[in-house]
Amino acid sequence: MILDLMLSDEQELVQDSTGGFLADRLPLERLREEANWQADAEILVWDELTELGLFGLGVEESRGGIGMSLAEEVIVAQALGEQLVSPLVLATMVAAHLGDAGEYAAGRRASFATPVRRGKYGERIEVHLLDSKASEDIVLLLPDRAMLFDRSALADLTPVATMDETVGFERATLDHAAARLSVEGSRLFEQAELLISSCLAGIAQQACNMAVAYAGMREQFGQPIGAFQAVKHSCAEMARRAEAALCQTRLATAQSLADTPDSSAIACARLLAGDGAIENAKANIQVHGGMGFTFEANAHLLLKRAHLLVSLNGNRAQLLQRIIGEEE
Amino acid sequence: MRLLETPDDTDFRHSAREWLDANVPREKRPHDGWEQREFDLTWQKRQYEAGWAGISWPTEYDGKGLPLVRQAIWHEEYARAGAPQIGAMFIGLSHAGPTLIVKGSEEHKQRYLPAILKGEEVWCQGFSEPGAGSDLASLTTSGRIEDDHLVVNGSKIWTTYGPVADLQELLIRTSSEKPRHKGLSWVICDLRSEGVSIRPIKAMSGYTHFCQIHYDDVRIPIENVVGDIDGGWSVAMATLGFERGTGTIGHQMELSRWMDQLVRMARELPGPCGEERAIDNGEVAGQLARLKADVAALQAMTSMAIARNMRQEVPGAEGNLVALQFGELVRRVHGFAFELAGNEAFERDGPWGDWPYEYLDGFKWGIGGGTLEIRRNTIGERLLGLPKGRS
Ligand SMILES: Cc1cc2nc3c(=O)[nH]c(=O)nc-3n(C[C@H](O)[C@H](O)[C@H](O)COP(=O)(O)OP(=O)(O)OC[C@H]3O[C@@H](n4cnc5c(N)ncnc54)[C@H](O)[C@@H]3O)c2cc1C
Repeated sequence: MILDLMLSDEQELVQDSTGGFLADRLPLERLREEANWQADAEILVWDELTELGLFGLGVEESRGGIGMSLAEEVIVAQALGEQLVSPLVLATMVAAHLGDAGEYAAGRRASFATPVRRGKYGERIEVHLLDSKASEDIVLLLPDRAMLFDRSALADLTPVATMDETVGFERATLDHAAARLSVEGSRLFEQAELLISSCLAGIAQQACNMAVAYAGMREQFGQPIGAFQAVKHSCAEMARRAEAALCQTRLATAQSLADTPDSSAIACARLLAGDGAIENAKANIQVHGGMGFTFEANAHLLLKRAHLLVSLNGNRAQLLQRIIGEEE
Repeated sequence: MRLLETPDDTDFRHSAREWLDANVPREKRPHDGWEQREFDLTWQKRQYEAGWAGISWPTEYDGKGLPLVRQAIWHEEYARAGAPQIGAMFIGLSHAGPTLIVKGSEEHKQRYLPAILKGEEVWCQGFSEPGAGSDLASLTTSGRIEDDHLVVNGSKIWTTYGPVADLQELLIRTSSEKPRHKGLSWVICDLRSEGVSIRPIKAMSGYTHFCQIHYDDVRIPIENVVGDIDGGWSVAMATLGFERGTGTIGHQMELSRWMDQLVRMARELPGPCGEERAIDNGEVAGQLARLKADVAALQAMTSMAIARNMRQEVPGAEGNLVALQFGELVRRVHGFAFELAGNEAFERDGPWGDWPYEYLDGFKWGIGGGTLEIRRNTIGERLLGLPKGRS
């Protein structure tokens, strides 16, 4: 099957408009101010996000959506990743596929719940909620079932401090029976995996950009550090990992669009994008030297968010198993 | 991000598949020498006669003039059918041909392109020298202009298929006064010319695919210069661009078949810690999955490179990303056979295939056509815009 992994003119328009908006209104820089953490900045521009058409972008018009496709959502997700936009936005995009797209397009918000522990899940699941304080709904995606809850269905709600302090975390318990909506099957879970992969590919790319910019500017021994091969080659490897993440995510997306979704290809995308984001974030810290170890640079933000997204609805061992697949 | 294949393309795919299934040679491809050349040329002729050669090459030169999508479909079906690697045809089909299409004169195209497609002539590439490898622009093989000829003296090395080639894309210094990149010319050398002598070199796999060539007052007609005299560097960069872009697509497909073979082996061989099957061992399964993901990424990156190439005439520096991924991965995939099958995988032509050959020969992908280190330099400087400097 021959796929065009470059963007069409219309897709480029989506990339430019969303990318441009986010770079202008929710730039990564904003996270240097604590006041902008935990989706506070996103909530301030929520009307503009809805006007951009993010919520319901890939949902059919007959179901209250914009009528574009998963491809456009994947493009948006990459831009969200590049600016470390709150997972609240991604969760609301996913909720629009599950619930009433029209309501989310009109400003309703949803947040991700993700199981605290791994293993088999019973009727009651202990979950982490991500940036959920201003959302009406909670989305829980399991490999074989997608569920939507009212926020009021949450029990034992307790705030917790975590590694990525820019995202608000709470622990809570969810009961399957309390779901407002529950859809069997893996379709939505896998679509969300592609969106998360794309976010991670965006982080991998951003880490590369950040390292390249710093390496071109910081001078030691009388020349920019990017002229030293150890640094230059590290940047080249970052570019390769970012490209691998992007290409595999787009390929698995294009397959899904062509009605031949491939669970193993999607798992590959998540693995490559997750590894790419974490490895690039680490390398970026190294390129920044002492500065990279501090809150004075932005490098640490990428590492923390990369880890958070990697463990959102998944884990590496499970991905590896899916890639190997079942006996033919 | 979309499906490119139209229903017409899919019809094309089906006829390609049908023809390949019926015509792919089933006898084993000889490992080297004249027998191998004969095998490769015969297979090329058969494709040409059936109308499957030069799918995206211009029709004026016996190509089919079809869009690159069709070429990509052909590559996919070719690999799927387990067709032999294009071997001795590689430089002609993937370097010299595409370079002549972009940079050659009308006479060059008429004279050389159809002969490549028909499987009549084998090409090789004479760029590297004993003293000029990564630093290609320091090459010293010289061409002195005498009337309407160049008189060439010097030596080239690592010339793949050189021992059995008819023609060579030869990069020589035609001006010693100009800055080093500006005094080079790209010329077509007939290896049957007087003054050419060839010393075959055995590679670590045990086979002899390349050689050193000495040029002792070899006379080459001036009209064999492609591009301008002293303008050879840009022609050479175009040539390397093809290699760094999608030139290795066939080998990538082959790598993915070896990957499938590893998974089969893991299902049939006993596990390292007494498991019934190797794949039931977590470490084995995890490593296999990581390799599979990287092979998938390689193919996705190649898809992207193809999509890019459809939008630009000469491939850019992005091809190095694919080459970097490929060069690293080849060694990991083939090396894993030894971990999985142990001593049995050491057997040449053993029950699971000739893994030693694949492993040893695979090292070339990190050296030939630009080493991994040079590719990282190129990515850093040309793609990312990092400064050159003292390293
Ligand atoms: C199988 C095979 C087939 C080939 N076929 C052909 C062919 O058909 N025609 C042809 O012209 N050539 C061919 N080559 C030659 C190939 O292009 C050269 O081997 C390659 O460019 C490296 O040059 P070198 O061997 O002189 O190594 P060197 O340039 O001497 O490199 C030695 C080591 O130093 C490193 N190094 C060198 N410079 C730098 C730098 N600036 N920064 C960091 N590291 C550096 C290299 O990465 C390498 O690890 C072939 C090579 C192989 C292995």
